[in-house]
Amino acid sequence: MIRIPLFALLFAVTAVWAVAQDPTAGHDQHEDHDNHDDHVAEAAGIRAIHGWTNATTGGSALVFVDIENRSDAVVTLLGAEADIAAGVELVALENVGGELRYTTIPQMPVAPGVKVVLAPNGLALRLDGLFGSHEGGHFTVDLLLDDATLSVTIEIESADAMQHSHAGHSH
Amino acid sequence: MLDPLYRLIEGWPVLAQDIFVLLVLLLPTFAVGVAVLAGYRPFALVRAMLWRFRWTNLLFVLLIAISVGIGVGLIAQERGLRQGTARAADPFDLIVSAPGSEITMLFAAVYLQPSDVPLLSGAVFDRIANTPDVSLAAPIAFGDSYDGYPVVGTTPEFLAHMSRDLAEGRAFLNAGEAVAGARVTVPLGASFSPAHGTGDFIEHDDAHAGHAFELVGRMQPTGSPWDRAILVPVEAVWDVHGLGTGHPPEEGDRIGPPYDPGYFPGTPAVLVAAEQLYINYALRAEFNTSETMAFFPGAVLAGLHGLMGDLRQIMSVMAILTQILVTAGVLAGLVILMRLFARRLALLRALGAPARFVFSVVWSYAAALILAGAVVGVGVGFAAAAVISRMVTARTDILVTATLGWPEFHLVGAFVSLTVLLALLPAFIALSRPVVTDLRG
Repeated sequence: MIRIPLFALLFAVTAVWAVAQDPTAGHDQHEDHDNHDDHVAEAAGIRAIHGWTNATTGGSALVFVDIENRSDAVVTLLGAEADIAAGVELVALENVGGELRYTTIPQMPVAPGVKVVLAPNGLALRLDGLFGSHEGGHFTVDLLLDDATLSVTIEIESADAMQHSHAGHSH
Repeated sequence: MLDPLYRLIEGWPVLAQDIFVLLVLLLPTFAVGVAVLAGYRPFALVRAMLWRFRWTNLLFVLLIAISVGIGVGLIAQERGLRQGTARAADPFDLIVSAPGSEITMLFAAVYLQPSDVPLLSGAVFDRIANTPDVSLAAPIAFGDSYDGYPVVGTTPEFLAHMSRDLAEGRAFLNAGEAVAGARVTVPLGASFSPAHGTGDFIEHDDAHAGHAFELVGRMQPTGSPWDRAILVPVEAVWDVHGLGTGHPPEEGDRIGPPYDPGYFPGTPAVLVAAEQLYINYALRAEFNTSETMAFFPGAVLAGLHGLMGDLRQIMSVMAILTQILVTAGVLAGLVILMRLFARRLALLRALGAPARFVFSVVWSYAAALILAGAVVGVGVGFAAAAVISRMVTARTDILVTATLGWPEFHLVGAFVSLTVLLALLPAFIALSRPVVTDLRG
């Protein structure tokens, strides 16, 4: 019989504690989910948006991102760096005698007012020697430009995705 | 299915990877063979059994060969078609056209399946041609034909890009000359007038009767529909349609760039090339605007191949299942056939032959049929793919060649291993038969 009042007391304490918490705390995660700032990175007139890659358990991965030059001078993408990979190369799909394969390119100039899209079956950043799991979440890649470095958040999409999950959304 | 295995050997040379995977796939065959045959040599007996019912055995081998051939032919043909279409698109670095469907323009400009598309203006072409780093900007104007061969207007630079050295003759030097693809049967020196339109819907067959071309050269084979095209100066195509020549009157009847934007009638597509791959990609980004669309035929093809890739995997699995089902049927037939050998096998056991020896005889007999069928099946598949490739080439003008590759050998290796494991069943069944009953017949 004593148990009932004890349970009631425990319930009451729990209820009071819950009400005493910051009512907006439960929204923080929701807010993060709605915060699209991590999709966009800007520096030196270059805007990088919708960085993404496919989930993989292999040792390499291709990273894609939209790069827009909002300055009035040519900006050149020279490569990239990522903590989760031993090396990063700029690659492009090439047709060599009927074989479609990715070839390393030295750079990618982006003319003023032009948007260069790194996408499947085209341009990409190839991460080789991946460390750890690459099956969900996100990581950061530093784009190496002429005069600046731009840190871009890369979302890990599904293994068979062909575009960023927010492709088509404006920011 | 083999992805985890390939990930383990990622850093190996490609040939070493393929050989290793084949050995892994054949490992069950070797393991079972060693386990079953250890200490015994049943081959003479098996040879006698194979010869005793040679026609039945031949039927079994052919059934297995046909099922293996279906799988081998399917994979080889799909790869040949994929490579053939990509090879045909190889000379086309970057295509610029009016905004629309990349696939439609791919089929029109690369595979000469023309569609009604908007034209790029002289101002747009001028901007493209004068962009820094552009080493080639050639209009591709299609729409006319002669005797079933598409007549395409372009420049001497495009001709040189498609066929650096001509197979015979020379390049066109004026608006009255033409160069044919490798498979055009019109002889050099012949004169012809193009018809307006292409295919079965040619209208006004004598619409361009007053305009004649002389064939002065023939290109080297390209393995693409361009082998059946006739190339003429684009100025001639414009002039034939009463649109001018792309040059002001004071320049006379010269052909080739530069063109005057004010006299440029328009072109459905422009082939653009740069010296380096990354510059081509930069040009693509630059020419993707509200008034132009730029794409790499190779990239569009890669997308199409990707769509076919899932279908290829499904068909490969279906081919394997078909092979296994056929082999299971053959093995069921063997179980029945073993009844014909039952007395002989019972006699062997009665004379003291170990049960495992009898087991090895039956298994070896089944494995011999499977191996023979697999080997013949590789040949059947290759021959079938070669025949189909010739038919596809004749039909599409895209050179498709069937070759045997490691994917086919891996398929056969997996099939052999699975089915020699299944072949243990008839051996077990043969052992389970009562000896005395079989001796009495």
